[in-house]
Amino acid sequence: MDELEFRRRVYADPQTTDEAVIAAAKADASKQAFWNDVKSLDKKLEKATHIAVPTDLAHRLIWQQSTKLYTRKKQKTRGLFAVAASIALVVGVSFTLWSQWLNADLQSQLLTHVAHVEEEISHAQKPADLTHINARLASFGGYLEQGIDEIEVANYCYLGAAKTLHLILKTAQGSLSVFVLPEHENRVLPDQFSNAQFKGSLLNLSNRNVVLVGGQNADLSWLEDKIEQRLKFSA
Amino acid sequence: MKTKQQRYEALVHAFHADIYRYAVWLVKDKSVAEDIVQETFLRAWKSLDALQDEHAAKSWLITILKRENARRFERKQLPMVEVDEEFLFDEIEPTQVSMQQRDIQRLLAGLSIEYREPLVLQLIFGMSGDEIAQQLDLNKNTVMTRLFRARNQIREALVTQSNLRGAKNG
Repeated sequence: MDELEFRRRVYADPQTTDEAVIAAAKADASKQAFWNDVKSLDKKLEKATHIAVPTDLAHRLIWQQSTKLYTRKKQKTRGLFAVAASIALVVGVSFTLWSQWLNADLQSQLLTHVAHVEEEISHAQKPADLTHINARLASFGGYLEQGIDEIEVANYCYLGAAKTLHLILKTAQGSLSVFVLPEHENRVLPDQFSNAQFKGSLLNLSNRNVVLVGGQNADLSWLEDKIEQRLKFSA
Repeated sequence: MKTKQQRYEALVHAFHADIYRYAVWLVKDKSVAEDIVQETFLRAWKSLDALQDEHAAKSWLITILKRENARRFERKQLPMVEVDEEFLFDEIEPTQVSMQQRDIQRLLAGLSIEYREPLVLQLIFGMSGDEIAQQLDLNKNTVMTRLFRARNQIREALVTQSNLRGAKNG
């Protein structure tokens, strides 16, 4: 091994265990001396790299990690809490609105409903014959002993939570409505009620409530008579 | 089984000193080095699950640290300038460090980065030529040449210095 190659290898790695380097050093005292020299320099170099490490560095590294972890966890929990709170709020508000709607004033629901009666007629199955009407009345425990010619439509309609049967009559006085209310409808309704356009009256037939609604100027008395005579409820 | 926290703490205790020293020699600024080390270990924590082989931890940390160092330049949009060499050792108490020791530190700091980095990896982590080559993504011959030149430069500078001092004193 020539001088240059020997120096290259020793400089590149003073701790080398390369057999060729060892053999060359053994054979040549000056090479061995050079190697020793480089080794001692390397000790100094190693010592020189050995800078003092701040004593608390390890603790700070562990500390910063755990605080970051902690704040992140806290943020996460906070986020989850916020989401849960929002959901609870939305559920609460919707439930309140929903139950308000369900239990809203029956009178105003009736009057609002009849304002849309023409649309309902256009969508409904017409004409409603007696069989059809009685089939629907059956779920209310009622039946018509005799048909009423003017009944054009028989529809189930929801007034809030209450499923009612809505009979629509086409008459010379315009459309008239008969609502058969379910048995367990608890909302109170006055015997007579009205707004600017419509008026209504409540009939009580064998403890079942039936409501008639018509235009402000309509005569409902003949219809009251007919319903009282022909609409029967089984006990 | 060890928890992630325990693994992390073990990693910190085992490597923080050498990683810190490596960082100081890389950036030649103690407070910057400390920042980078903190970033490095935070990042290490985040991807600790990816570290399967504990033997690879050292080179894994070095890789993260180098990336964090590069990121520092991206962030600040600074050109890669070598910091003044006088920077580092002023704070070290002179009683602890001999005059020659200080000279050696200056010379080591004065090496250009491509010579300094492999030498520091070898001195601090005891890495072999192959390991350094892998770490720095160089071929082994290049690494060996750089190590040779690095030591050669330092030794020659020391010889020159001592000749100068000798001449002055004599």
